[in-house]
Amino acid sequence: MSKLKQRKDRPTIGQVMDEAGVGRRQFMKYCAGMTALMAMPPMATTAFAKQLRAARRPSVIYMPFQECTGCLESLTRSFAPSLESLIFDTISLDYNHTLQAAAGHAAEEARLEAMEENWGEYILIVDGSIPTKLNGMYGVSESHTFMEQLEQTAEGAAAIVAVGVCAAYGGVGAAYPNPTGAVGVADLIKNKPVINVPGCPPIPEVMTGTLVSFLANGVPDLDAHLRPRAFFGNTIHDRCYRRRFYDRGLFAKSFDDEGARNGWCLYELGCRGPTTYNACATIKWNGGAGWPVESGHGCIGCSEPGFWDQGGFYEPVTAKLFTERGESIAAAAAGVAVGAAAGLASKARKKKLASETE
Amino acid sequence: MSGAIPLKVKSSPKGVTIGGGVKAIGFEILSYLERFLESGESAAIDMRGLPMAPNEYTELLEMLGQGELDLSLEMAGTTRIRETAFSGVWWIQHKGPDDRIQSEYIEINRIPEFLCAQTDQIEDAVRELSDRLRGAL
Repeated sequence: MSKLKQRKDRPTIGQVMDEAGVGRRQFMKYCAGMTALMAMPPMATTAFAKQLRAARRPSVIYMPFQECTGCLESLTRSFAPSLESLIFDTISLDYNHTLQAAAGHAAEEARLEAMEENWGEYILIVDGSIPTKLNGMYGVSESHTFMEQLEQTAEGAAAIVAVGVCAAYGGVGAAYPNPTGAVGVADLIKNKPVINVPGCPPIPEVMTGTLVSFLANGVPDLDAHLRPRAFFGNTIHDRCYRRRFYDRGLFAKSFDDEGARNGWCLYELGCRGPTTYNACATIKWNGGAGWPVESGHGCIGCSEPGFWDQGGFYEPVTAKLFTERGESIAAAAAGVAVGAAAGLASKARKKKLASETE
Repeated sequence: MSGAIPLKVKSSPKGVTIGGGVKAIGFEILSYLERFLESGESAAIDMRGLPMAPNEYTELLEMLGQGELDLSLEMAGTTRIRETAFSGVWWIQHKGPDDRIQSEYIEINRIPEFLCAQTDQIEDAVRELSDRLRGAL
């Protein structure tokens, strides 16, 4: 009962903002940035701001598993501190063993305490893949496998946000031959809403935008790979400023030819923009300063499942299909040859048998 | 004509060469403006969501020109609200404390939504003003 009261007593985001001296229009300005990020019409800003102000300050448990900390680096060292710091000031980050001072038993105690106090309401953020081979023995902390820790913490979560391609689909850890049996969160947790925010790393604004969207409106509209459509609804190719060159058949053939200098399409140099859903072309990186294609390098498709095993980064996306078709044609040709040889041998055998019978 | 006081334009959009991409956005703005005139329904176009080359951004800015109003507000970074040479078409840019653009959009409205007082704010104002007046009695 006292726990329930405690939850009800948690301040709203609006109250936190008021206490921090954030004015109404400043908050509206922040929300305008957020609605723009989420591809919501700017006219929806007022309603969004109202919903966000009324939401209770959330408890967040951030669990890193088989990861490189790149996603957390992307989030905390982002070039848009005004947006991210507002979010970090607003949420109650109750557990993140990379950032928190406590370690070992004390850190785990903090997690269990946060879980108990906010049971059914906290947001669980997962970073990194989960090893499953040998019953998860490739990843153990505090005498518990990552699998056990994830299952235990997921039990009381309102929703799980899998940040980075590793937490979403297994990522680097799951690349062939996947020695640890790495999987993404949604492969293990089936009874809670899982929101994937893939990328290597994901765009920081997409991570915070997803959290804010969840606070204001609950689980956002997701695509087949559980990615928020607001950020992953279009391919890189759809929103690329070089698309016009693709449409006109103008392609750079090498990274230093005339086409590359003129900013032509990088498709033939391996750009995976046509098959990659992400917001890099619109939100961009480093506070909107640029993004890979603008810098002259093709998209490597880091927000797609299994992107490490999709062939070389410098082959056109269709090269793999052509290779497979080439192989199948060769196999078919070999099959025909083997069949023909077998047919001839059979005829010869029949002739021999016939002559022997005669 | 209608006898309305004409808008004083600081930079005329006339004579500016309009590229294909900019023309497409221009027609979108025109359709929103016509709809606003007919039904009063406002609209906005998110500039960061448009796949534009840097020169097209400048072209669009030049094509829309500059109207009478150009407001700068300081709130954790500069917010600039500019009336374009076309009445009812506003260019709004919010920057953060690091001077980087947080959001940028063209709004088709009588006055930008951002400047309007919100209902809950007005409710608070009624309560606060009432308290102050009662205290003054």
